[in-house]
Amino acid sequence: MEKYKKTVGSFLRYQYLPHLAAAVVFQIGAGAILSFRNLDAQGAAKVMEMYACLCGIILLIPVFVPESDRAVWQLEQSKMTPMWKLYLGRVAVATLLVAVVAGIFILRLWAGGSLFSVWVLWRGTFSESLFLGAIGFFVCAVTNQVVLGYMVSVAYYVANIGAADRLGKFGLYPILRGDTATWPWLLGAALLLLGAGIWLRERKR
Amino acid sequence: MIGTLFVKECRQILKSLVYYIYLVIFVVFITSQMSGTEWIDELDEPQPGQQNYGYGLSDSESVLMETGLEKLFEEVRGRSFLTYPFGFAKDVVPDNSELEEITEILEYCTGTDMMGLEEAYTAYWMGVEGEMVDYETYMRHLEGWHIPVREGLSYDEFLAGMEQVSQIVGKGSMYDGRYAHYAKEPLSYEDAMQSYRELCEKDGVTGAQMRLFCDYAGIIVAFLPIFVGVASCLRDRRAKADEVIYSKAVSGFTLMASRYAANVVMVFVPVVIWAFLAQMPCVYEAASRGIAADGFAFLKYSVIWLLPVIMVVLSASFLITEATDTILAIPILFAGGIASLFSASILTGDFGWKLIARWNEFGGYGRFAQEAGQLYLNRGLYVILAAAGIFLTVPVYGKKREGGSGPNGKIQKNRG
Repeated sequence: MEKYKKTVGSFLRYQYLPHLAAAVVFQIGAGAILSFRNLDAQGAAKVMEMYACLCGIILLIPVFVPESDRAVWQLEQSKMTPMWKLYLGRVAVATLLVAVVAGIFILRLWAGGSLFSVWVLWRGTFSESLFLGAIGFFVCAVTNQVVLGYMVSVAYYVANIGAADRLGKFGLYPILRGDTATWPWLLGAALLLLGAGIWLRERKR
Repeated sequence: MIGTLFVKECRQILKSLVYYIYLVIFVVFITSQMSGTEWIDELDEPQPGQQNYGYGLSDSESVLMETGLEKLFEEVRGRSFLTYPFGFAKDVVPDNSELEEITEILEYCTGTDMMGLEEAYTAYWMGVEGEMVDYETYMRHLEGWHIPVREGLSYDEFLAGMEQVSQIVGKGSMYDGRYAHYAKEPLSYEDAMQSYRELCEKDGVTGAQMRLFCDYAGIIVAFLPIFVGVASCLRDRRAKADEVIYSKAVSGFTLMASRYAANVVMVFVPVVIWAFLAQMPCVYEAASRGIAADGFAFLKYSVIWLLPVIMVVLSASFLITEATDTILAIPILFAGGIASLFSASILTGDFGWKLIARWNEFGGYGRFAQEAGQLYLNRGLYVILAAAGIFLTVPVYGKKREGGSGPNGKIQKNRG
């Protein structure tokens, strides 16, 4: 266990730090562009589903960055420790951070006197953020290009602005569109994509 | 040397998956947004005695007061005020005491209490409810309702009221004068004829279409070239070719300039081609009606409106990526693009210094001509910034070549 803590710790320190900083700026910057005060359920859903969900892109996609260098990948592959365990540790931390960021947004809304269902909005945003990040994560695993991961996630987010209804269970902003039941689909798809991404990265580069 | 490198860089871009994704998204987005044919109706010459000739902006004080108060009534009813404090759209929801204060201002300016205004508004919509058959009818009815303005209310009193509301809801609200963009009045036959003549003679028909094209394409080129630029800068490192390239005799300037130029050209060429294709239906339709269309509008508008955006986005991508050796340019520039997109309080004009200049309308040459000066200044600034960015990238790249700098005296690697 100590070994995994160390490897995740060094990943956070040497590779993940700029992305963590981006997540902090993302959180702080929200106050300049969004209002958290006195919102109704729709207003709160708009803040969470259209803005807060972007934290999934910031936090999940860079997980494979160190091994995008072939030499690093080969070195890690030659070690006793299976790579999927390393990836899983990183994904677990990133997932936890997504949950925390979504939680802080919920707290800000609550402190601002907005009226909404905390659990419904948190689980919806968490699932959506995870799904959005997992799309880029998976693309990154397939192509070994983090830029492509970001590009596809962002394109999916933008496409949903006009076409979320046409994407069925996998359309974004479900609560905003009055659907509070699709979050298990988004969460399930996110877990599937994350699992498939890790499996792919273990096998190929 | 620079020519050979330029061609090589173009070939490299053509091998990049990021570039093809850019092409696909660009084409799909533009096609989906510009497939409508409503603009054809605009080519019909207005005839005397028509039921209406559309609407135009008004600078009449009575219309401005009415518009400002109608917007205020709308937002008081919705308990939400749209503001642009830092250029982004932000909904401000006042607390009860603030809302009460704003309502008092509204009641003072209209000479009617809020309940009376609500009742009149509801009664109006109840009266026309059965006629709501389509969007056009709805819009006609929407324009048919007007808020009462208190008799004897001076324009200065009105402005003072707006100022008070503005202070309560915060900077960048509708009451900072933005309501003027919504102050419209019906056009007369003469006004409609003038617009028609401007469309045919000064705009050459295609100019109107190209502004609409630039409106949509401007959104795409403010975002997607970020990915193309970052991928291009990180390519050498990914291919483990950076050390080899560092050791070559070619200067940093030649290398960066050729790479940058290749990226600009490769991103811009599909835009120009699509602009040309988008203006063709206009050219044919105008020809069938005996109107001489401007065949070069696609080039003029693409170069002036869109090229500076591509240049500055790529330049900033190059500078940030070369300076940090990370993918940091993506979140930074993406946030910048979103800020510019959300800073548009109206979708036609008000260019200011926005990166994404909007003109979501076919026509409006008169207003565009008034604002074109600001657009040229805006685009000129971005060209200068793009040049500055790329000139700064050269020494940054040079520093890395010499052995690098950064924390602990080493170039930071494996972060993107």
